[in-house]
Amino acid sequence: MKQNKLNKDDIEKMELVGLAPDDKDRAGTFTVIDDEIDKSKSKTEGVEILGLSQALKKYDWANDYMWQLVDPHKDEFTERVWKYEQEHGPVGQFLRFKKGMISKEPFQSCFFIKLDRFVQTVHNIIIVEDEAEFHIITGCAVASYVNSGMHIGITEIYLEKNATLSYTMIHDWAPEMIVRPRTGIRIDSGSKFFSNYISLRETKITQMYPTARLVGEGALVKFTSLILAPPNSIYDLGSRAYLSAPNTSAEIISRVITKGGTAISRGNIIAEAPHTRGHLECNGLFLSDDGNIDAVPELTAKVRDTDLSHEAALGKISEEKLEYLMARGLTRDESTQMMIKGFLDIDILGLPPALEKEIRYNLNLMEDEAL
Amino acid sequence: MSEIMLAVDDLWVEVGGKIVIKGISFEIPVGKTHILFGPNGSGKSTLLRTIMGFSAYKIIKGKIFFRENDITKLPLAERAKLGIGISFQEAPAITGVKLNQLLQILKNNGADIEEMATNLKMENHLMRDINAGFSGGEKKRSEILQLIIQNPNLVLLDEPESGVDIGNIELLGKYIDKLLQKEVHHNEMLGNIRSKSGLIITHTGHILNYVPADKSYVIINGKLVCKGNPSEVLEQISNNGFGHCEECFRREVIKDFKGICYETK
Ligand SMILES: Nc1ncnc2c1ncn2[C@@H]1O[C@H](COP(=O)(O)OP(=O)(O)OP(=O)(O)O)[C@@H](O)[C@H]1O
Ligand SMILES: [Mg+2]
Repeated sequence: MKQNKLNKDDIEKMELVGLAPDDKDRAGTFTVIDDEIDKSKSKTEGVEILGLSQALKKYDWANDYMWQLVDPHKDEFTERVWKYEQEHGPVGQFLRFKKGMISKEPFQSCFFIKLDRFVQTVHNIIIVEDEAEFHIITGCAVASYVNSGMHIGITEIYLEKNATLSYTMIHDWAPEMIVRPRTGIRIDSGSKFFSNYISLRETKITQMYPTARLVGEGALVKFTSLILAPPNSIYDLGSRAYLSAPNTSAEIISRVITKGGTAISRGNIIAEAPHTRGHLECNGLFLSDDGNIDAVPELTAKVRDTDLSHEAALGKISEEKLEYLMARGLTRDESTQMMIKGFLDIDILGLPPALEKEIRYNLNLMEDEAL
Repeated sequence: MSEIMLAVDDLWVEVGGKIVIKGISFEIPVGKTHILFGPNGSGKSTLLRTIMGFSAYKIIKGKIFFRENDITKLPLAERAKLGIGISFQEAPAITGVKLNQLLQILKNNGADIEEMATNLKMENHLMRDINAGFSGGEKKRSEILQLIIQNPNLVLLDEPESGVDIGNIELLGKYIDKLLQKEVHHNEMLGNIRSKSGLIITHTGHILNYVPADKSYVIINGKLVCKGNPSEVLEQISNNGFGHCEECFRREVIKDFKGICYETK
């Protein structure tokens, strides 16, 4: 049931979430439209990209990576994908970054929905082998006429030793879309994982709680999310990190803005090994009299020799600060914009220029949207 | 007749449910700098902040004129655009906004930001969030730096030197002079007139050692009680305290007081 091809409108929507249609400045591309792989292409020998079903046929060992970091029976959504896979086989990417290879150009993937009321169930396996250093940008979007539907994405990410992966995800859903990504990350010794999540458009509910397990000495994870909740949208987002080996560290940073929607910002760091560090930070900004922001930080120390902290600040832009800028001759709008820019201006480290550009672009959209 | 930069006419101001300014009138001609003295809580900052137009300060009576325009109802940002600028007694930290970022927007007189920042020993603060974690003295220098780049015609300075060490007061004084165009000879006959006026709050008067001022006022409990030559009034306050001024005000005249007692009503 191959859908009609992508039209100009669709391509524009995909570009908005970071997809370069001509693969320019990208290490490769993988796209799924509804339930079919549209494109699967590697531009460098360091990257192997296959459809997941194809990979399971090609490599016996590929199955060892299936459902290891996400429990298929965790909830009704994982269950749904699991059942779908029993019947149809998995739809999604098998992405392998090869040992010792490095690319500054990000690999791009996009999960796109063209059918209204469609339930998209995808499953991705990402393996970063020893010493490899890569970037991924993943965009999720729907065609402009799509109003409702569901996206469930299972993603299992494996970082072997001394590897680095940055994973930037940009979402652009629709008012009645239900979005339930389920992500697990396993980080072995000396490896670093950076997750950046941006979403600023409507959704009925987007709920996720990606969980990283830092199982090797010296592993590091940093989750950064930037959310703008429009009216009637619910974002329930958290990140979790298990510090299970010595000298591991986790940082979870979120900036949420409500324009009338609900934003729940969760975070959970569990220290299970000594010499570990974890920090949670949630700042929430009200740009409307309506809306809700909940910051729910959780820290669990199972060992004494750890350093866990959290901070949260929720409120509207301080009138005192706005007036400080206005006294310098800025208008109220200019001052507000400056404060919003400042609110969203957090260090997202180590991104290549092409990704910086995408993030900057989306931050600008977010600032505009916020006003 | 010299042109008037600022005229305040029978001003009454309420803040936080309390009347703080109770019928104040004065004028500052173009090119002149006036000084405000007064005990803690007497309403000095309230007066300055009302002139600037901060929203917490409600004018319940009276008028403010800037270059003959009635600005009593004009919002803060528009007063700033007209050419009124203020340095804060306690500047808030503006997290997320870099000092340099704001200066780039304010830049309207071709001043070299880097150079001016270096002059004020703030070159290492340009990439920091405004006032965030700045020391007391650094905040004061940051305020003057911002004003120099903003380049207003009426400069309101709220205790620019309090908490600043002697060496840095001299530095600040030098740049406040620049802000007020003190290097321009003020001579109405020759027509070589400086276009800046100032209103400065000070407790110690240290700034007067570097910034020449033309006139001063003492404000007590929301009223101007005395006006006179800045150094003479300061001397009076230093020797006899504010009680003396108040006494003068109450009895309308005190023989040995060098300032002129304000009209009592
Ligand atoms: N926002 C406010 N809410 C409530 N009261 C206020 C507010 N601002 C000023 N006041 C009160 O008004 C009075 C005058 O305050 P103001 O700051 O003008 O004093 P000041 O003369 O500048 O004193 P200082 O020398 O201590 O700086 C004080 O009693 C102060 O508590
Ligand atoms: Mg004061």
